[in-house]
Amino acid sequence: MMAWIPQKALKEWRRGLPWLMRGGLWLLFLAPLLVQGYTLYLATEAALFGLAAVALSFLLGHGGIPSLGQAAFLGLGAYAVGLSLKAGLPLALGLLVAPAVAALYALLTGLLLFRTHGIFVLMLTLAFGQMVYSVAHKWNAVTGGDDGLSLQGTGLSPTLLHLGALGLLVLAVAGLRLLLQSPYGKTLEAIRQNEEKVRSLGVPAFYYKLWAYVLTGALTGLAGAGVALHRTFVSPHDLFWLTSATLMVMVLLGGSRGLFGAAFGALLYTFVQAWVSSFTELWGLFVGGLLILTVLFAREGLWPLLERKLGGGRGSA
Amino acid sequence: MEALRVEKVSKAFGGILALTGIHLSVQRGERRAVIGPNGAGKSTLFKVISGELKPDQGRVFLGGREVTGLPQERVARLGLGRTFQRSSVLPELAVWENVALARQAATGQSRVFHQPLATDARVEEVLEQVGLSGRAEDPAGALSHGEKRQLEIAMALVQDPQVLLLDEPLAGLSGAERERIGQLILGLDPGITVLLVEHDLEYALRFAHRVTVLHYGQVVAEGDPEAVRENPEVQEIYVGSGGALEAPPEDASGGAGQETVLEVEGLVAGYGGMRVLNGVHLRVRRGEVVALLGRNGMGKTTLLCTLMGLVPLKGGEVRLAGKPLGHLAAHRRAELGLALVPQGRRMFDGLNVEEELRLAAWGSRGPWTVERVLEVFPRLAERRKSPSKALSGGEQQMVAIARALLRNPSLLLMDEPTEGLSPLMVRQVAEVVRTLKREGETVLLAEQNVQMALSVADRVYILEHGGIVWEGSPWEATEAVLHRYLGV
Amino acid sequence: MALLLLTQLLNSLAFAMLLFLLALGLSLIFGVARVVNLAHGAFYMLGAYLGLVLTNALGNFWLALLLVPLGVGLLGVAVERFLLRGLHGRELEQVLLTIGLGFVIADLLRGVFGAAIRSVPPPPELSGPLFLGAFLYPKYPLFVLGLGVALFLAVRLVLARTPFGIQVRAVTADPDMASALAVPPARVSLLTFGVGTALAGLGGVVGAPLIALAPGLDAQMTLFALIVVVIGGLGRIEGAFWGALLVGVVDGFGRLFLPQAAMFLIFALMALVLALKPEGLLGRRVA
Repeated sequence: MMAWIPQKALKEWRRGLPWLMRGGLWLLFLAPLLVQGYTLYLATEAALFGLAAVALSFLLGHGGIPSLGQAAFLGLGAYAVGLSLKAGLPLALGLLVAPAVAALYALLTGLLLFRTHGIFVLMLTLAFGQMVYSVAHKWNAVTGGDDGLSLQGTGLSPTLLHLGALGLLVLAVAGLRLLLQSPYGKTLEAIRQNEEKVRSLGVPAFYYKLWAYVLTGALTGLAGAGVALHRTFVSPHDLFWLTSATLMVMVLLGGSRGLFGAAFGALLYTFVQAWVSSFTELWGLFVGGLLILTVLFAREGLWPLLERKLGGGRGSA
Repeated sequence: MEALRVEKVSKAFGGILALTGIHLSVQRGERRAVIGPNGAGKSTLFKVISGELKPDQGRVFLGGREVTGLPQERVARLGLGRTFQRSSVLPELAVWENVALARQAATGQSRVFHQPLATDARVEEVLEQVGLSGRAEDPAGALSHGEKRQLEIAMALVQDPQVLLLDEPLAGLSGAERERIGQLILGLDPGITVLLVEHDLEYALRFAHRVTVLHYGQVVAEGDPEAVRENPEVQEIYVGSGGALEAPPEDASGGAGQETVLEVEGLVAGYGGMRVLNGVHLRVRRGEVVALLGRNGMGKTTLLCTLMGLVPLKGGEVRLAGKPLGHLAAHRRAELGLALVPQGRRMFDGLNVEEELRLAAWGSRGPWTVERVLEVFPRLAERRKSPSKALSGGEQQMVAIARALLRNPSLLLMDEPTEGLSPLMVRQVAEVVRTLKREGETVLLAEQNVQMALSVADRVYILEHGGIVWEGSPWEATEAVLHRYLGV
Repeated sequence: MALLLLTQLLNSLAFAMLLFLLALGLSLIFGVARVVNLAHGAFYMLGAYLGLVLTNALGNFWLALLLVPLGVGLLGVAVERFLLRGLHGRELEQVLLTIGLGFVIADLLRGVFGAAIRSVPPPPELSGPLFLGAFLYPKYPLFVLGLGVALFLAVRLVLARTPFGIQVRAVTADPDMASALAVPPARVSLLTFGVGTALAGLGGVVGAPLIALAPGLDAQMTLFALIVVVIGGLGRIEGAFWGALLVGVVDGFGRLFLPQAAMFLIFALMALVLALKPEGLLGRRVA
């Protein structure tokens, strides 16, 4: 079908395509500023969950660490910023406390997690995540228990909030991609490919995985703080493992490598979910079904698939 | 000055003593070859030295410093470089990135996160040295088997190790690659202390200043290459034992009938992208014992596993009693009459001897029953309630053979049944194979113990570089033939 | 006080037996099929609701006790055959699929039965207390306790003595070698998946009169089962049994003395085990 296009032009097109797609993605995130309202609300939500998804993509796709406990980071970040504001701390400080708390939790659980390998890591992230959920749920005095925690008076305009969230997302993607080019990032990828070999070269793989986990925790905690400010409410139910699975869906849907896929997956998921929720309240059915379909049929994710289709068949993955 | 010292190191896996009281002292700048048959404990020794395994007893010193029980990344940082038996590179990273990462790990720069990974003069130099400059930008996964070996050596060299462990660097390589990598290793900087495990005896003796011979977990000889070559004990270990060659029977066809049990035509197999077998032809007739000889890494185990259906067939055809097996699963092949005595014996963790046997006997009909097997192997009757993993190597081998017999197979595939066994046990295993032959069983025997294999076989195939290179009767397998193909 | 402690001990042990049923299935499935079935709690819930429906429809708890595990087990077999087998060897994908499946089952149940909390009465034969002198204790938990111990012994016997049991252990240890001895690993794995999910379904029927049904219970039970196998060691039924007892007792007495921190105690226990023996108390190191 593309036989009539000169080879040279096709080559140019393929080289420029990734950049075009990335630009297009950011435009998609920016566009709702024009319409405001609920669309903007959703777009902000997508950017914040995108930040968390990008962090998970870094951890899973590049670090090879499967985590089903990301909701705990989100929740810790959300409660941290909520409680900081309640205690009268300035917002800026709250936004520092949130990632710090999540990172501390990542450090403590990571010390135990990385004593095991493979699927056990996944089971334990899930177990620890549910621990945070049950604490949040039961510890009424601090978290407000089932009633949640209301935030008021942050006075951020939706536009500002959206730009902030999107800025964070862009920074995170750019920063993590740079990190992945560094010796640390390459070593982390090497550990995913062959941990024994990397250890035999003298690299203490344990700490490399631990720091990747802590960094991911901090970023996700920040995303959680953003979600709390955005929704002006923190509910313990957002700490349930369904949220962790949702993040997993976003990452797998978009593609777990390269980080852009995760951001795209978050955007896609958020809008599809908003659309679907007008028919049904069975959120678990939706997330679960989507997870099953993604695992069975969209193994590498939509972003690389899109890149290949637009590039005319073969493409660079 | 001593670069490496191993003191009284012992290591057991279940009932198998892999290393028993090993002593080793290697001087700085020395070239040391560690040789010995399969299962002698060479790889275990390397794993203990590098910190991958903790010894049960004994101590290891690197450059005068004790490293016993340190995690392997610490031992590596203290100056131990290593290549693995199976090529082990980072497939998704570029070739130069593999080397650069190794370099950063050695200089403690792996943690750097604020600037991109970059190549440097030393990385370029090493890539040039191993002959991979032209492929620096390719992903390591796209390299050929031999090039991966070169890359692995580059990753070790760029770390400027004090001691370098090379675990069978020539295994599984074809002629030209073998030559290239052989030269590369011979030309290494004389300042590096090198320990080499290699099955190519000729090469190992050419390379080494001193040679250590391991056999069933013990050092049985040590000395310069000439002394080791002349040592009769070593010769026996290497050529093998297990009985003298019987005189050719009057009837050259042996007791075998003419009915073909197994026919293999143009068999192609391998792992992932790596082709191990490339067009193997062979046939086994009923009542025959056929020996399959070949150096390590030439594909003997791959061939038997492919026949059993444990490694996928990529080309060619396998027929059992005239029936093509195609891509049948292993359990279907087992039902059709194939049984495998696997390399390394593969006892089931958690099962006792009796359970192993009952598992195999279930649903199988024929002359071999649990009772009869226990008569043939009285030692197993005594140990029927012991966990099979806790048995000694020889006893485990008996279980593995008994298990396969209980399938009442039309063809018994035996993969290195003498591996890691003491000379006494080797003789016993040879005796068992002779008993089976008298009972009229059909056996395809892959063996590294040449003498043992020749003493029991009716016919012999020699496998080299993925194909059959020689075929004949045991008494036609002259020293010249054996030397040419097996290097013994 | 002594009576209170005794009562709580019995309560804890009965709960522990429920956990054992779940952990046993999880552990068996992992051993043979190498799948961590995170839909396990959902199968438990399914068993509980089906038990409720069948008991009401048939008017007989015992018949439901027999039929429900069968049905849930068949569903498990179908899941293995049609969803999981195609992903053979892809651990992460399989786990994610079971999570998704768990959500789907749990939400369908919510859709059908609503979100209200339901307490299920024990069958008439087992309702009411048992009088032991001055001590009186409800019959039903004692029944659960007895059933759990009996199942533990029975499963141990099956694994130790029957051909199927030996096949299961062989496939757990080395599937390739087992298939070279004519054991079909795929069929063993299918059957084990069925047995494991049937045990979860059985747990649901038995557990409903002990623990009221409510949305979210599936996640709770999956989590408990995971913690039990992490503590006890994955892939061994002794690990599941003693792990379940430990978790049950810590949970029971935790609720009695430190009601706010009961859940936390269990996690502390798990963290302790991980720090000291990452493969679990009775576990073997899995490569």
